[in-house]
Amino acid sequence: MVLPERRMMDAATEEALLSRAKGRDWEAFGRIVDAYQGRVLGYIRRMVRDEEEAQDLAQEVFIRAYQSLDRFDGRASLRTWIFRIAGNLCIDRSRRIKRRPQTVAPDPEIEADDLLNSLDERWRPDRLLLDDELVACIDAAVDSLSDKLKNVLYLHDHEGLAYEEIAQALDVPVGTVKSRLFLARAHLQKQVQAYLGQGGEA
Amino acid sequence: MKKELLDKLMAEEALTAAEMLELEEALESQESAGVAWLAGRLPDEEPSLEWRSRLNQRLADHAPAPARRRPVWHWLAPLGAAACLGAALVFAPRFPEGPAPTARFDESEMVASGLEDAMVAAYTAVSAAESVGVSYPDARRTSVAPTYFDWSQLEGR
Repeated sequence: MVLPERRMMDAATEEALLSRAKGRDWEAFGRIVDAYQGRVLGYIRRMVRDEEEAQDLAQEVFIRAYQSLDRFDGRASLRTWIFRIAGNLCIDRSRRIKRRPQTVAPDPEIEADDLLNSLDERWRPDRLLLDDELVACIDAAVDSLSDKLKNVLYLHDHEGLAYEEIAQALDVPVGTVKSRLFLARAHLQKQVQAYLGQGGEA
Repeated sequence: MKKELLDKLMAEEALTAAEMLELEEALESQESAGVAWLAGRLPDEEPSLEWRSRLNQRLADHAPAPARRRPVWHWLAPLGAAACLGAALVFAPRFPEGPAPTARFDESEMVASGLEDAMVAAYTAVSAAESVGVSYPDARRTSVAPTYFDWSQLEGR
């Protein structure tokens, strides 16, 4: 499977663009959008199941970012700041639609014993052939996580944010980020193992 | 990992230093890294051009109007028009709007000169007045001769 190449930019370019965008340089802000639009939409798409709503929320992220550029002080990275906006919008949406309170457990049916059984050290998913079907399985497994776990898993393992950056973005302690990440990975491992039917023998 | 620790993680309870160490080791383990690798393979969602177009429109609605540099003709044209209007006001012939002003006739000229000189002077004055759009009162014309010309002078010649 060929994954789309990410539009990354180095820190100096990002800083220069940010500076210009703060001066209401339309083109500079457009390049920032170019760099982050796919990642932000991907993140929100996994937090919000409805595609149209996800697209609207992703647009709202960039509109909020544009409106509050003056308040961005650079203490966090631009990436952390953008994902913080995205995360907050997703949380606001959850509150708006009055969903039931989120539990930390990945699935109400899953107990600690289930996760313990899935933690097999011999499991080597990086040796798997990553086809579309497996990607769909991973996607479904991520989708079945609670928002809290999904958020941390996606930001760390997909976006590559550090523990501290995630803690900053989600406004939680670093220890909480680590525990949520562990639970999310354990759940994902269990789901993929079940799909493969290999009992942990990759 | 011990079940007690897993229960604490699910309850998001504070961990001891030893438990935190155990958690970090678990996160750095090979199998955990393998799951991270899988999660990292999830594809991004590339937005459509239509999505981007809508975003640009919404951003434009929120953005202040950009201060564009106008082309030269954009400010030169009104400036030229204003200059032409000013010149027209200064140099254009002026037409009286109210009652026409009356010309004053220098009566001393009539006394000092003979009939011919008086007629020439009167004609010159009327012509001059009319040339600039000033009406000359007819009464004044008729009153010139009887008042200032001595007809007896002709009889004596």
